[in-house]
Amino acid sequence: MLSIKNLHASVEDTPILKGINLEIPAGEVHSIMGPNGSGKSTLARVLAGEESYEVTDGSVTFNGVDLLDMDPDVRAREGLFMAFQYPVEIPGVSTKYFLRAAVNAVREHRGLDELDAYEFLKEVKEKAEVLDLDTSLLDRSVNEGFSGGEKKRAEIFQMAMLDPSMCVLDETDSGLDIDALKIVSDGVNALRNEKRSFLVITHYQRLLNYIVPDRVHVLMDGQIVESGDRDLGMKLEEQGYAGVEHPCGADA
Amino acid sequence: MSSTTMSDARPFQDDFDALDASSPLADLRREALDRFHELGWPTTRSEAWRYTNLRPLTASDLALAPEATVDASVIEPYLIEDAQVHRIVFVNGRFDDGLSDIGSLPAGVTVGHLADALKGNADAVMSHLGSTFDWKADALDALNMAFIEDGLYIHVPANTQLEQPVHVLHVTVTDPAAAVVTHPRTLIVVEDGSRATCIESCFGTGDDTCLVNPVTEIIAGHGAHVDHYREVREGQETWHLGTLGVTQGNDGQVNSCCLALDGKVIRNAMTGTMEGTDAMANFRGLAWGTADRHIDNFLRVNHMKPDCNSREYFKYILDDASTATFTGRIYVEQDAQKTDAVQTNRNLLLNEKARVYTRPQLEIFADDVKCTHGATIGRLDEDARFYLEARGIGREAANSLLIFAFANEVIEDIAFEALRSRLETILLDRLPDGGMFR
Ligand SMILES: Nc1ncnc2c1ncn2[C@@H]1O[C@H](COP(=O)(O)OP(=O)(O)OP(=O)(O)O)[C@@H](O)[C@H]1O
Ligand SMILES: [Mg+2]
Repeated sequence: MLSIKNLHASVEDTPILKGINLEIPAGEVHSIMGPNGSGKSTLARVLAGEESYEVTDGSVTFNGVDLLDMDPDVRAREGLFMAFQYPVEIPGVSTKYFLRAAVNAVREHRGLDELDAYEFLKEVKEKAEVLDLDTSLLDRSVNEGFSGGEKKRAEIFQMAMLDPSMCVLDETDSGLDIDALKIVSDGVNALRNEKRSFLVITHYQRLLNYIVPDRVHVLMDGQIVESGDRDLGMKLEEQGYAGVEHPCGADA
Repeated sequence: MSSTTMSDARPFQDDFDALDASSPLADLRREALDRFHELGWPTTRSEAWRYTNLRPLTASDLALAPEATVDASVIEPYLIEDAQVHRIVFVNGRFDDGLSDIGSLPAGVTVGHLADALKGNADAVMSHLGSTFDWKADALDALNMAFIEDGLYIHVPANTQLEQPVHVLHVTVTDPAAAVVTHPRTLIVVEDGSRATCIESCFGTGDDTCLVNPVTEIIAGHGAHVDHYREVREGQETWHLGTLGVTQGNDGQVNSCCLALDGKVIRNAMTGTMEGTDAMANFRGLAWGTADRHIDNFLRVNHMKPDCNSREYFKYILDDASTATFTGRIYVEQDAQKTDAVQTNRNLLLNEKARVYTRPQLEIFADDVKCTHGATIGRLDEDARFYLEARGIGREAANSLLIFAFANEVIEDIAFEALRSRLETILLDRLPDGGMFR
């Protein structure tokens, strides 16, 4: 599904990602944990195609094709979805109009018919129900004035609407209360299947109790320094990152 | 090209001499033409015209637009679909009976042409003409006054609701051989406790240089409610130099919105005077600058009495090498305590070459007032754009959606639904991939 090889990326000439290697097969859930500033969001944004990050080395293939060669909108249409750590507020843009345009752009790319207003609303209702999302939020401008938790929930709702095959969730758990965490996790779990993969970025083992990962990776200073099964997450919770060994010049 | 010696000495004198000298307006017109000659064309040395240079226009041979007719297909694209309106059409400043469709009006209401109204009740009409702003202070206003022949006259007597909007279309037939001038005139008198809506659509038949010099006056009585829109969709070489004067009595509300969409130079000189207490005025504007278009909103709001609210909200989208200026003066008389006045000018710059000058001017003589002004200049928000792109929306479409959102803030509150949705369509049609968001 997603294959990241020796990925290096910089912001304004400062290297942030320093040789990331990661394979996520179809149907698997991988988690990335790591201290603040280690480059987790950078990885997510590089995958999504943000321009301000410059890829200086390495490659990313997505379903066998070069991901880095695609514009961000094409990546999304091809099935990559990134739930933002900080969803952007866009005053004046109605969530419903925006989302319908997005859904139809994605559908057109996949050779599906456009949803008309009625079908779209039906779909909205169904998906919102699963996430216990108040649909009146969708009449407001994109993310404008949403609470922290509402923003995160709306991201997962958009994900459900866009039907991606590779979902990158950047700290979707932060800002959610305990009940919301459970609802959102259930929503994510409902989307798990043998074709869809997830990369779940988080600081907290708690999320991984709900969304149980196949693999856990530790990102420090722009490199994956340790990988393991879900027990690694629990170990980190107990011991913190101090116990994680830095690889000495290891590149792969 | 050279002008005749005659018009060099007294521009427009020939045109003026051809007007009907027996009109009840004859004296006023003569005074106005004299005033125009006295003042001469405004230059950038004057405060009001500091940022709008008329030289390129006044250097050409200007002549009053001749009588003309146009085919129904010319006005067709400007009609408001799916709405019942009282339609009145002026071609080169003259009433066109064939194209107009005024329909039936509530008892006592007049929607007609000024020339007719002057035949009936000249004194009442004349007492309002030029009453809402100081027409002698500005050469173009004087020139309009000098050439009043016809125009739109709306009169709504007390306690009367004019349910259907009046849609007035001002058509200028441009001429590749001569720079024509039209002076559309509109007088809207809405008496106490009454209500009316008027939409002015200004457009031309071609892209030849011309001057459209419209003056609209709104006189709103006590408790009157007036909605007014001016849609400027002129030819690409048209100088649209418009004036709007508004006076309000107690307790009423006047909303006026200027949509500057097409033209070479689009000026909106507005004077709103709140002569009574507890009234509300809402002045809005949206301007779209492309190519080398120049936009000039020159606004003055006068608070003469206590407890009035005024809102000015003007947004500019400036692309290419367009330029724009915003001058907003708020005057608060000593007596006008508890005035609440807010003025905002927001600019979206889409091109490095676009320029905007914004000047708030507050003159406050009362001590218990709330007056605020704010101006912002920004570019498209790249974070917002990336967010849209990350959801599968292409770069062009994402830009379009953000530009639309910016503009939509001005039009989304338009009470006349058919006009609102028409404007929404016009905006989206102009934006690449805008159709995605219908
Ligand atoms: N646009 C930018 N300009 C400058 N520095 C940046 C930019 N984006 C990221 N960085 C820097 O890159 C480093 C990695 O940031 P990143 O957001 O990827 O960390 P993170 O692992 O997601 O942290 P957190 O856990 O706090 O979310 C940080 O030192 C950050 O300051
Ligand atoms: Mg982060």
